[in-house]
Amino acid sequence: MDEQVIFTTQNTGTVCNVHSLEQTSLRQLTVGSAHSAVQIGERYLLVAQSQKALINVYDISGDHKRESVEQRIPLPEVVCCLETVQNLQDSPQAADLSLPWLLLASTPSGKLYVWEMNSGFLLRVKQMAHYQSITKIQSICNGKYVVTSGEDSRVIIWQTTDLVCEEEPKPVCILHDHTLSVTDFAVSSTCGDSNVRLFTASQDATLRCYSLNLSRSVEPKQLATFTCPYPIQCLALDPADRACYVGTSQGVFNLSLYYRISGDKISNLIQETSTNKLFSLVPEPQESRDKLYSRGSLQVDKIVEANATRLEVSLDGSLLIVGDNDGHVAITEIFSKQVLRTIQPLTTAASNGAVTNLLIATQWKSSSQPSLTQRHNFSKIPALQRNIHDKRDLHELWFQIGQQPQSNPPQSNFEEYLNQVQAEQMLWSQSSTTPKPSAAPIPTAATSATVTADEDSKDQEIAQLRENLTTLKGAYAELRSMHQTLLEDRQ
Amino acid sequence: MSSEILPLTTLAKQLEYCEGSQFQLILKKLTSPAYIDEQLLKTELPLVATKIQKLLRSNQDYDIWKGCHASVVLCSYNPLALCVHGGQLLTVIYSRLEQKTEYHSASSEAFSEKIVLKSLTSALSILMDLMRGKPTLSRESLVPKLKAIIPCLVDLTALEPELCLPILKELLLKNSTTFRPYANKYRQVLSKLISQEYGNLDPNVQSLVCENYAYLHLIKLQAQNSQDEHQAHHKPFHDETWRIGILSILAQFKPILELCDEMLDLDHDQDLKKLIKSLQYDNLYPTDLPTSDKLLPGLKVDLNEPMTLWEIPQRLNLLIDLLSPFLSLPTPYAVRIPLGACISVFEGLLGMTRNFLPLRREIRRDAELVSVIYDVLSHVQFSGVRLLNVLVQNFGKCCLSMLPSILGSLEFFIPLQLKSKSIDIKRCKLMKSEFLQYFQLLNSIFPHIGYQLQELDFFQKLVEVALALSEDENLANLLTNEGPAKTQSNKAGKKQRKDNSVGALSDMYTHADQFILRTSLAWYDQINLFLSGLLSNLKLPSSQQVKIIRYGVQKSLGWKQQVGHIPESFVELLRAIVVNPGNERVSILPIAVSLLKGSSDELFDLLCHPRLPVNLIHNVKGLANSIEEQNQEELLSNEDLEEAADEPEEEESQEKEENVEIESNTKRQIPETESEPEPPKRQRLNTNVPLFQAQNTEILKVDNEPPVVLKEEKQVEVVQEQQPASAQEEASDSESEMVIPQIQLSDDDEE
Repeated sequence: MDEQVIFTTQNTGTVCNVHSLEQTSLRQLTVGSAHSAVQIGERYLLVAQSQKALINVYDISGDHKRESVEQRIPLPEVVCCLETVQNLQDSPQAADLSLPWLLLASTPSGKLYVWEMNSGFLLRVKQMAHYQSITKIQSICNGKYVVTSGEDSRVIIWQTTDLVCEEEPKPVCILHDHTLSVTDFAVSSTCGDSNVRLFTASQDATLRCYSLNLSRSVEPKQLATFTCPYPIQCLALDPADRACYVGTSQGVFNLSLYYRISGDKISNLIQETSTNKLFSLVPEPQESRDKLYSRGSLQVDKIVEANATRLEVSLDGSLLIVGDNDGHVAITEIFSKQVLRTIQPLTTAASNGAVTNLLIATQWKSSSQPSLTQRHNFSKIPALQRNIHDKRDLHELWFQIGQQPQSNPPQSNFEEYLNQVQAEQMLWSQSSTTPKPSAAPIPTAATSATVTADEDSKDQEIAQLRENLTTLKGAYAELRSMHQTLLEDRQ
Repeated sequence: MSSEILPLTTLAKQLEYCEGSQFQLILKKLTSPAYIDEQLLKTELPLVATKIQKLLRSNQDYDIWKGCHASVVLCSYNPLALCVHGGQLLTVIYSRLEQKTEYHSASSEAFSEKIVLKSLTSALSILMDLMRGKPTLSRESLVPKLKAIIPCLVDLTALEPELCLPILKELLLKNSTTFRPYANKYRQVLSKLISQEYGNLDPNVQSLVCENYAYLHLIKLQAQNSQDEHQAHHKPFHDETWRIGILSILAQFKPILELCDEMLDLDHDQDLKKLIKSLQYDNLYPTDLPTSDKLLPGLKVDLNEPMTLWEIPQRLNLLIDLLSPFLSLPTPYAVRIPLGACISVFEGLLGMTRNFLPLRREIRRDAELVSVIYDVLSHVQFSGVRLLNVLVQNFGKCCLSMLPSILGSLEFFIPLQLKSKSIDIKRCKLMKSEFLQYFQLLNSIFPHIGYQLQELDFFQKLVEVALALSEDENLANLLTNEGPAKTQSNKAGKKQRKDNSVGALSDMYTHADQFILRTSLAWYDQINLFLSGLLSNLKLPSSQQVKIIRYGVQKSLGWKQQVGHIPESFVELLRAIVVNPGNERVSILPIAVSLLKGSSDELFDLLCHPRLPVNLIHNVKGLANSIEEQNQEELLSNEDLEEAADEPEEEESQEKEENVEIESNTKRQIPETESEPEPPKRQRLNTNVPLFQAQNTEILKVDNEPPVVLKEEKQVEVVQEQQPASAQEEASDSESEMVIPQIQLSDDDEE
């Protein structure tokens, strides 16, 4: 088991692992904007190219990654953010081509494109989804909703079925509390109906927390606002919502959401019942924690001193992966604030630019499962169309259903197999022709016994056949003679 | 090691003569990993292998049977035996099979022959499965023999389809190139099965036949007279044949739907007419291929003989049986699925509704004909439901882009009474099993959809149908009702007919409860799933909500009384009702909890004893040894807090707002407070409450201590209530000021 980290800078792309030292760099990559890469299953990595209306597709499956571009998908125009909406939760992995349902892409002008990936059909283009460039798209709640944030300082929640069905999709709700561009947002990974928490970070140096009540109507409620001394560039959420990591140009801060005021007092900063409590984050406090708290200030620890542009948290929530402005990725332990490892792109270029995308995925590799490392055929993703699809035709999907792993009955369930044998045995013993072992069961002279037995039976058979033959012959002769006499009589 | 295990040689000897349970013991022994030993390779394993071969070659059926099982077990558990002797065993088995096939005919009913055939075929398939995927074995032993095995199995298929079809299906998928020469012959065999004997096969074999037919399309179809040589240089996609297979089936729906035009007056719905007209797919593939449209004979339907109309739904079901493996089977490469066309066919089928379309004028008089037509039409619609079910199961959200028209068409399935908008429940009851699948389909669509749906009317109808069909039906009551119910009862149950003609009727009046048709648990499971999904996604009107609540409570209670426990799906439904009270102002939490008394249902436990940190600030008692220090700290901090509380007024006002918010929130989340005047919430706050997860650093700090102790001693208390205990007179005043609204809040709640 290992965690795979994929990160891109302006002109490099790197695939590496958190706990082992493998590193592969992807070729021919130019990335302009954040959140422009998306991973599909264990196979494909889609990266939107800057200044070109292209998506590069890389095959990142298996142990030995291919560095070259496997497929280039042309687009109607340059896009900046990408996101997919998953189709079925339990799709068999064995299929060469298992694609998500939708591919969402946004343009610098704020348009939102929606493609159906299996057919490549362009289902919808939402003009002016945002008034300025979209900074991040994410599908939440098993793809029922899509959240977008933009430089127009708004965060919009869409219903996915609206995006594909309605002529002119309307957002389910719009959050416009920020005053400057929204740089990043995060949604809690647990998805109860009413308790989805949305954290939004913005250039206006605030971090806002909403509770999205998604069960019957989206009624987002702002639970808390945290002001930070610096503009917030990125954001990551602990997998269990215990802490929020805030990346600024002056470092990454750890905001614990169950905040210890003093000694044994703990405050739940974002509880469901509070209405927009205002806190300010203080990185280097001069006063004690409770004094600060009484004034509505919170002490936050600085984890890394870096100009962070992307953040991710590992599976167990103990490691923070920080992508910085120089194109380096640091794996940091949150508790000890130690940098465990720094990963750099394998290039000779003097500067690679800031880290634009940072994806983390946990992979499980079993020793008895070598098929995963086997190279499959690379099945191409259907080309994305430029015109909005008109529904009255065949609407062909490229689809492959994976094969379920098989095992034969005696291996998978020997007991059942034996039971079946027993049942059949029952039939044999009930039958009139009781099963007889080939001959006299004298194990000492087994082979000879069967041979003699065989001969015996043969002899018997021959004798019987001979008898038959003679009777038949007799009968025939009789008939013949009768025939003869009759014939003669006629003549 | 060898001294402890039973030597293979003895096993081999025993194998020859053993019988009954002894044989099973030997099989069990053969699975032992001790025999995977290279030292056995020279002498002992070959001995076993030859013994098995001898058994297989014997002319006693029983010995062959033993040989089959022994070889299967040996090869599956002993890789040495598989690699070295697998090939030989396979040869022997299939040559025996060949011999048996020659003499086998459908008329020979000897059971021993059947068992032997069954064990031979299953041994063959297991050995082939074991060899497949192992490069040398499959190259050297398997593939060369397939040329003999396949025709043999194809021949046998006509007589014993159940045995051969699964094997051939595997072969078609995994060895399609080797299969190619025999494809045409196999197609003939299958065609015969489909066109002539399909109705007589059991459902399992039916689906196997269809799956095999679909897999035949992995092999390129050969035109009977391949003239278009000039087309040959166009290299088609891999899946061209597969696509032709799908399209050729889809093309057959159009003529059948046009037949329905003879019964229903489709002129009333021009859209539907246009839709049916557009279902033209046979121009998309070359006509000279042996496709499925040449497979099936024409329908013989005569309006003068109403029963012949039943051929229409039968044919539609056959077509969907044929189509669904094309959509759902695993394929070695990606294939094109004409989803839009499938959905159009679905819409066409569901459009055959008598809700909005009148019958043709000339046939309205004939009562027999009309009643058959109505039944036939609902089965036509049901075949559409089956089709959509296959689509949704396999393509999931891809169908969502056509969601509005899908939901619209699904609504047609619910029969309405003529010239009114109310649902024809009687007719629904006749189609209960169909409705079960219908609700299954809805249940698989719902999880993909968000909350915003326009079709509220449709869902109200669904609730009505679901609840009406969940009632147990008393057949005896039908008889006692007069008029139209009587004709209904003829269909519903034959019991009464019998009673009527021969015996006395008294039982029906005195013991009516003996004639109840009970609803199955499977039905309840689907309905409950559907209702809970509906409750959590939509805000239903009050009347529907109350109906659902009544259903949930009554049925749960019924189960509890009769069976002693409440099925899982009902518990889920109760949860959904409690968590989503809709517009209702009463909560059934007390009912639900008392129904589930004693069962440790975590959700209800959480609702009754909220463990959420309701207050903003909590006091966490640390470990026993650190309490004193902390108390001191507290002293300081409380004073600080006190000062602070005076200072920022905005915060206080905020807090007040917050309290109001809490109030409304708790009402929304825990609605039982209204129906149950004394919620145990307040008292519980003092008790031990598991500590919510603290920050990482904190976890690590207390890691030194044993975690069990930690849990016991940690205590969350509302700051203010704990305050007086900590002997801080001055502080407690101001503290309580901060807190008072919250205490009052609880009072408010109770009011």
